[in-house]
Amino acid sequence: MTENIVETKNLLSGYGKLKVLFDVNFKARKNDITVVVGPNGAGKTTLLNSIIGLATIHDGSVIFDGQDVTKVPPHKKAKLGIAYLMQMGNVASTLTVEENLRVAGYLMPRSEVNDRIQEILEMFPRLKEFVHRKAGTLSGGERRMLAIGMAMMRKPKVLMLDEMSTDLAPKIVKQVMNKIVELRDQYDLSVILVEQNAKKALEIGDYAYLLVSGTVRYEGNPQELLTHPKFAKLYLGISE
Amino acid sequence: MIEIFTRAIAYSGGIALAAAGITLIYMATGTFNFAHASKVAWGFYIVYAMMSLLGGSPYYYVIPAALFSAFLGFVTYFFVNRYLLKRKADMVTLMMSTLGVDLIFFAFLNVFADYLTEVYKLSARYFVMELKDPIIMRMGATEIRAVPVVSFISVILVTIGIYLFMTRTNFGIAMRTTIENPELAQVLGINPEKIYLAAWLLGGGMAGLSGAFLSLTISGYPSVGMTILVTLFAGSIVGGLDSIIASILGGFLIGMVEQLGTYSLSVALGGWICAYRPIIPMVAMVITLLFFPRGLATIDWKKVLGKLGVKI
Repeated sequence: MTENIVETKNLLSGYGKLKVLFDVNFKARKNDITVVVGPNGAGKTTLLNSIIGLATIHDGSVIFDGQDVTKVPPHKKAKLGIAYLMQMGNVASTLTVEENLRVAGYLMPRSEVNDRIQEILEMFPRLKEFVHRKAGTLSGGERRMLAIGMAMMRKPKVLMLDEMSTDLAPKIVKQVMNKIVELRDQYDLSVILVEQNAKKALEIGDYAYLLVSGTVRYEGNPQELLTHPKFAKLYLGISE
Repeated sequence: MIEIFTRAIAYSGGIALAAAGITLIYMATGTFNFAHASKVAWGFYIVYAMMSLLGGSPYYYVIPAALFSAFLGFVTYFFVNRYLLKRKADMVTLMMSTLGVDLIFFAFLNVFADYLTEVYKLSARYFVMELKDPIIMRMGATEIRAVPVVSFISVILVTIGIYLFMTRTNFGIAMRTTIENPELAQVLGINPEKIYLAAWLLGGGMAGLSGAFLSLTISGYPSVGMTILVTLFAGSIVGGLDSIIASILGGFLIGMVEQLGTYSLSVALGGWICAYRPIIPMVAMVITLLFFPRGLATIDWKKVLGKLGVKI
């Protein structure tokens, strides 16, 4: 058994011929919330896309739970226990809430899906009111809740979240962050949280990475990064 | 007039099924499938060859026709479309590749027609099977054959089947998710290749079914698929390229307009107009798109009926 649930070694990746990440060594420990912050275009989303298999990996490797999964396609990584909430399009807007949850349980035995949907609805009681509504008609916050619920359907080992706070009111951001901590504590989840809203994310993180122009500029304690004399102001817009 | 109307229903049913197949493949893979022409034509030939060689009702061979065209769908996907999708080929490349595949299927169909002609002495280069279709009713001098009824019922069953498949089965919901957002589908554990393959199989099957019913309505010859391809695409586009059910409706409407329009114009202007028959579905398509640019699927019926003074 390895302590790291996800690891990248000397990762060189991007999209097609375009290279975005350069020699990135990243580790997410089991049951930790690992936060990845950085300015726009730093390669945060590309890191998650590389882990799940949606980006082109030119060199280096991706390790999941001790197994080299560099060439494993995304749908098989989902089966291994990686859940990924993309920044955009993380729910199917033409499907109802129930259909979204059902499709999220696509890999599960049929007999378990209905019970699991009920569990998820208990976990996110607000979704119960909209179960037959199209996901496209939900508010931003409700969509995020549905997306997290979909990710939790399969009881994943790792939950990767990309910019969950975008376009959300501060109150809702706080609720979402609290929910992430609650899920980690309750279900022994490992979380990789990519955020532009660095302050909120670093507050709940156990370990942090700062990505700048496709390279790791800092890794370590999130609190230290929050108060770092140079990085906090320069790259994260945190002035105090 | 009744005979014209029943023929129009039989023809439109066939067009509707094929149009639905075109839309399904387009929605799932972004491929405008020209090879549908040959798959429909193969449907004609499977029914014709099997009935000529084995005897019995043409309806015995409807399912084999659908299965064979589904197999052609599999071949198209597995050997061509799959590789292009992996390389993220653009829409034009995907479309043109199916034109190449269509010509290959068409060549094999010609070989098959020649084989039937040479070996079994069948008139496989041009055949009419309408008279093989059983008469189910007589109204005075007018004979009503089975195909309008069977074709119409099949369209209704296929529509209901597609609706239930897409909304009640996990695979159908997975297909809708993949159609809307392939990346989301993948991270949820859905293998998009399975979905694309299913779309090609179903789409091919519908083309074969269409060919089987059309073979009892219009004459058969190797290029028959190419002759009606314009009508098939018109049906698919009029219905709207983002709804399979609407494409069935679009195909049916275009088929009816073509049949009844040609008849009406030939009565009014003379038989010479029949040579310009393919123009009719195109005109109907253009007029529909002028009013509803994204097809019938996007019409807000409440608004339309409201304008007409009908309250729902």
